Amino acid sequence: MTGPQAAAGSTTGEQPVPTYIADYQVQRALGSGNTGRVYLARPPRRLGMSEEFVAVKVFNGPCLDPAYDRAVEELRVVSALESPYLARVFETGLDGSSFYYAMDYAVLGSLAAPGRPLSQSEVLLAVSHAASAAHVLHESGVAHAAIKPHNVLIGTRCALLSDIGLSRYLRPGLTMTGVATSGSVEYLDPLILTGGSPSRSSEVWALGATLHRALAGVGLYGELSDSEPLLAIRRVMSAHPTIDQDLSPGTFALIESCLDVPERRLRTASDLARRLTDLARAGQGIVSGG
Amino acid sequence: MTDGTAPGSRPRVAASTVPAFDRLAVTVRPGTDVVVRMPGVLLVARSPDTDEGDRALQAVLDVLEASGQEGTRAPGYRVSRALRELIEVGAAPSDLALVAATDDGLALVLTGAGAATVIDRGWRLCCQTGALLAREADWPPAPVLLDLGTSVPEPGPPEPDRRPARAFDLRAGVVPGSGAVLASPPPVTSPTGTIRLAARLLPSASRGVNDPRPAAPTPPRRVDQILGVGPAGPHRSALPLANAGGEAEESATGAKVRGYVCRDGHLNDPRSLFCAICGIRMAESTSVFVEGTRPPLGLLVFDNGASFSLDENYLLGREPDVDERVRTGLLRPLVLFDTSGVISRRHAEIRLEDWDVLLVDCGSANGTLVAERDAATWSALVPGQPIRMLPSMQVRIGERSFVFESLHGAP
Repeated sequence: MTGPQAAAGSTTGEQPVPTYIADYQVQRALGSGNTGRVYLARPPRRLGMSEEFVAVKVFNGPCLDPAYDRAVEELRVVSALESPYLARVFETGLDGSSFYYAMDYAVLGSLAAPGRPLSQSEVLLAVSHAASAAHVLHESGVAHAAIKPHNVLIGTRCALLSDIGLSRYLRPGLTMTGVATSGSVEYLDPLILTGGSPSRSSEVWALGATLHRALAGVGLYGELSDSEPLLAIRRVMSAHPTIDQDLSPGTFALIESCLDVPERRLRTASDLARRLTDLARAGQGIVSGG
Repeated sequence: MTDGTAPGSRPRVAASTVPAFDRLAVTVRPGTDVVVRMPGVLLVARSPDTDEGDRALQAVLDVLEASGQEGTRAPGYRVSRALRELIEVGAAPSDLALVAATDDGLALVLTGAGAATVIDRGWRLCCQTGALLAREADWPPAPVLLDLGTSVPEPGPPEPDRRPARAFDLRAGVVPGSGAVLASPPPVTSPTGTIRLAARLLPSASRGVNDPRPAAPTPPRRVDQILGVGPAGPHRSALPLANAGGEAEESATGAKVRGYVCRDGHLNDPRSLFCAICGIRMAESTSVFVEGTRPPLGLLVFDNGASFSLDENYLLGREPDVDERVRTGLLRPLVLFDTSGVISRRHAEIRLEDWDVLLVDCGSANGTLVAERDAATWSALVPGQPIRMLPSMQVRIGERSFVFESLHGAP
């Protein structure tokens, strides 16, 4: 795997890769979605950074100043939080009229496309770290709104939750984060599709769906078409999620309690993080030979 | 009435090679504007009442004449281009409508009050005041009316026309009228007889520019450090621990509607048989007709997968922020990115009324097209005239399209 942090199944070959984004020297494309594209880049000297590489996300379309200001504020709120499980954002900028930000680059990729095979315990721990990070966000009044395997980076010491859903701020009035690629709709609590706002409850759902995808290798609705967003959304709105029967009873039950109706769902991401850590310690994952 | 160009200056073409356009009947509607028919061209223009107007009309006639002299009977592209140049420099009549034959369809040019209507289908194309609409289209499946937005005068003795009719010339094909109907051709060239309008726009100055990124580092226009810089706003309180955190929030406008409540307490469109949220059948025992806050009425799902919840009125366009109603918060902006230059700054409006989702074209330069579920044809909205969106209705604006996914709404 040469393109860690890349979105699984995404294509980046259609558009030419720019040589520079502002004064960041682009090395290669890492992934793309409908909101923008992510590149591996060398940071400019003016930042005085020790990191050799950063990931630079560039959003599609022009960004007006009010939207830019809202996004900066949101990123600063997140940046001020103390959690070892939140990926760092270094700076934001406007390259011409395009909004970009520079963040941690994870050499080992993401849960969607890990740079090396992960054991089941490692997956459980990675989602546990992401859940812990989400809980810190929730306690500070922030919903991530885009939790999915692509945004759970595999760091050297722990997993990092990255790429908070900024579309809400960059495109004022967007109540629902645009589905980054239609495949991402499988991580969206169906209640969001019927008009709900991102909440603790919808993020627990997303974490459960992320765990399912990473452990079972399939989505809760099977494979959704990336090229037919409408079909994907219709499927999610009409079908019930199906949990893979091959998962161990412990993980099956845990995912079930993430997808339950809100009244019976796990109440906080922190509860989920604890349960995941317990499972990882118990060495559970997929029943071997099952 | 001899000021027109002398007959015979146009090449004669054998009947067997006359293309479809010139074999079609044209009916002139009575009126005082100018209707022009020349090979491959049909034009309605505002009658001049000044010398300047005379010159403008003559300039257009010269363009049509010149393209006729080039010998082709499909002068659409050339006529369209030349006419647009005249319009852009203000040297053409303020209101005109033109269709001209191209090799495989029609070229349309409309300006001012000029409009093209596909009769029997209710498709009407027109442009904003002072704007220019130029596009190519397939042959429409029904007769096309060109007019300048003026109504047909009541039958009766015509008012004597006191203006010097310097341009009128029956032999040159220039006659008075308020509009002209081009009959539909025999078996149309497009297999299904559909009209395909929006996608191709003739090149114009407003076309978006490609913005290739430079091959050298350029300092960012704005840059803000994030790491180590605290937020400016006040401390936020934690997200609520409510059990039903994912439930639909109340609409910010708090719009009230009347409807039936399902067993689980979800308010529904009285026309719905099943609850839009939990899917249970709306049984008689729950038929309590109450007023409540309107839930979201569905989603707009765009071609790229972005989805917007219909809990508010929206203004769609390239720069919806220019609208006063967006600035004051009455309408929520929905920015449509495209590089073709076809989308107007304020293009279309989505309006929620009771349980209905209405779509209105805001007089956009290039129109809003809709197609019902599984329909093979697009039709253009009449500007300013709302239509009720039906489930799975497709909407096309420039190169962008979206589908209305209904949650409520009668079938």
